[in-house]
Amino acid sequence: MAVLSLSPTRRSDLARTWHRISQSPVTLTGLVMLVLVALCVGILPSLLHTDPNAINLRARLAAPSWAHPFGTDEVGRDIFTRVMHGGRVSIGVALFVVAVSTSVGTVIGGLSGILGGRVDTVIMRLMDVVLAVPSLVLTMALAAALGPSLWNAMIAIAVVRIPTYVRLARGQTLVVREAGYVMAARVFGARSAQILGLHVVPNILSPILVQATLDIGAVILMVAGLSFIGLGAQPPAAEWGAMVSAGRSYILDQWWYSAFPGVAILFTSIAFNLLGDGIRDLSDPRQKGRS
Amino acid sequence: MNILVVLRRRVLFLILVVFGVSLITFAISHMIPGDPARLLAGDRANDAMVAQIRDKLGLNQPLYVQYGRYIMGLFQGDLGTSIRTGRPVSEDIAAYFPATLELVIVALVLSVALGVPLGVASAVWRNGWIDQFARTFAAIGISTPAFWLGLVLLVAFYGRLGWFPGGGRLATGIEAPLRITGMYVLDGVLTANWAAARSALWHLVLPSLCLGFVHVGVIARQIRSAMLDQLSEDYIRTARAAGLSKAQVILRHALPNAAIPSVTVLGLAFGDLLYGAVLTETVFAWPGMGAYVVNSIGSLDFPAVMGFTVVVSLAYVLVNLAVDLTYIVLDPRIKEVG
Repeated sequence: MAVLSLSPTRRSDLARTWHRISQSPVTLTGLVMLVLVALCVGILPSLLHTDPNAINLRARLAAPSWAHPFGTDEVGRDIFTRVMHGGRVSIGVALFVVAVSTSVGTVIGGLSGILGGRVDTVIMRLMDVVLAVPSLVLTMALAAALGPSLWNAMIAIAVVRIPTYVRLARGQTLVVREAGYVMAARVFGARSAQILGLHVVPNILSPILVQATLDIGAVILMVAGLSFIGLGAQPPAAEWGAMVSAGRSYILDQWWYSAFPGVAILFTSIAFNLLGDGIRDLSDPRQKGRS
Repeated sequence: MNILVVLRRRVLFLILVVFGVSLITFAISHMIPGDPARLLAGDRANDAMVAQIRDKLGLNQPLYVQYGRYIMGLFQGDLGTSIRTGRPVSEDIAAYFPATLELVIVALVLSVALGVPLGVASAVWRNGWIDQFARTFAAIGISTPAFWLGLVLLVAFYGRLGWFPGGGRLATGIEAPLRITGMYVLDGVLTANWAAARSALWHLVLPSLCLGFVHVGVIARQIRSAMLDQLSEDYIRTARAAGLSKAQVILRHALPNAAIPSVTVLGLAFGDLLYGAVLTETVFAWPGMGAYVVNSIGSLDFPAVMGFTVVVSLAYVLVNLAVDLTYIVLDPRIKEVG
């Protein structure tokens, strides 16, 4: 019904977008993989009604079987259930982090571009300094200082990623602010905040969203990495990186413990990277087939 | 643009970055919950001892005075005292840095050795099977969690096949070579201690493969893109028309020009490799800075963590400065026009 209520123009827009996506094997593969992940992580746990922390000491470190497709851990928890539930944590965290850094970065970058002058210079030099430091090391230092927890890891990753979006948004704003409609708004007395919200942000969103899609995969890896060294999710939370870390001690004999959460990270990260690559190609014809 | 002008500008930026990094690490150090003096004094210390340490560290002074002391200390190479080891952090880092540097260098060499031919083949046979393979490989590379790949390599090549050692830098029974650089392979070669050099090289295979894997794809993508730019240039068509073979045109003309913009990727990769080393060293029990910092995090040893951050950030900025200067030297157009 929803489709029937769409106007012909909107329907043809959707059809055109779908046609372009279906012509790009990379985008299509990423999309299909992501739908699979969404089904497994979003729907399956609700259908199965299983508890990721349910302990079964009689089935400790059991190898993969029909009863436990991904095997069990040292206290008999079903790894399949934990991987599915863990996906909600890992992907949810990545989406949250990217949403926060994108929003804050876009507002700061947009304002910096609109205001110009000293404010712009100070903000951009500050961002240059942060960008000159290896971001992963800085994230680790910040997460360590805040204390080991998933929430603190999220804050650390979001804060360190903000400068990338500030620079991107500012660059786009410098182009948009010379456009006739922004000049007109300024002549009619619009304030900087109004210009930013009504005229600049809607017109610079496209490249920022492409960057955000590409970032999700990287953030999933970063969250998992921080959890692996003990700075992210804490036991018994079912988070992919923490699960790989917990399985380390059993890796030579009970390989499944670390293997399946790792495959989940790899699969989801590839899905987001392929989709991001595909969207970038679609939004910039010059990039087609170049990356 | 004259190289000296660029150098002056970059050195000024470097100073700004040093101040920025010091300010960031100083601010982070003051965000830590708890009393650093009590952490340093240990659980058994009484209040008087804690107060004495607080006084000695200047923690009673205003923040700007503390920052002044901190930055003066940094310029003298003083990164504070490690809570865990009780030694100066700079001494600890100096002891662990060569192991990490050795690992990072070998990983970088591996990723260039595999990434460049893959990128060139990918561009030459664009859209062919090798191109599809290279693109898939790159996508998998940037999506692979290094710590998980390390565990997979350990299970396969140590646990199942037994081809490579499972951790450490040298086999048991083999003495470390005389320390010249701290990098065992190089020191083994320099002191003609071939057993140590061979063992060190053997121990490097799995960790460096794990660390370099991600960057093979990144470098291949960069080389492919740069090669595609070069192959569409007029001089390539002229070279082909002059009768040069395809191999000559690619290797002698297109590749050197494509390699110039790709040099910057190596500088950026260096930063990622240093963080990747933290994860890789944890998996392979590699006694480098990464393992040191993870142990420090576990013991809430913040002077060590911040010292690591400062040293790695400075190394990263200096490597990128060197890369930028190399770029200018290699590309005469930048030198003259800017």
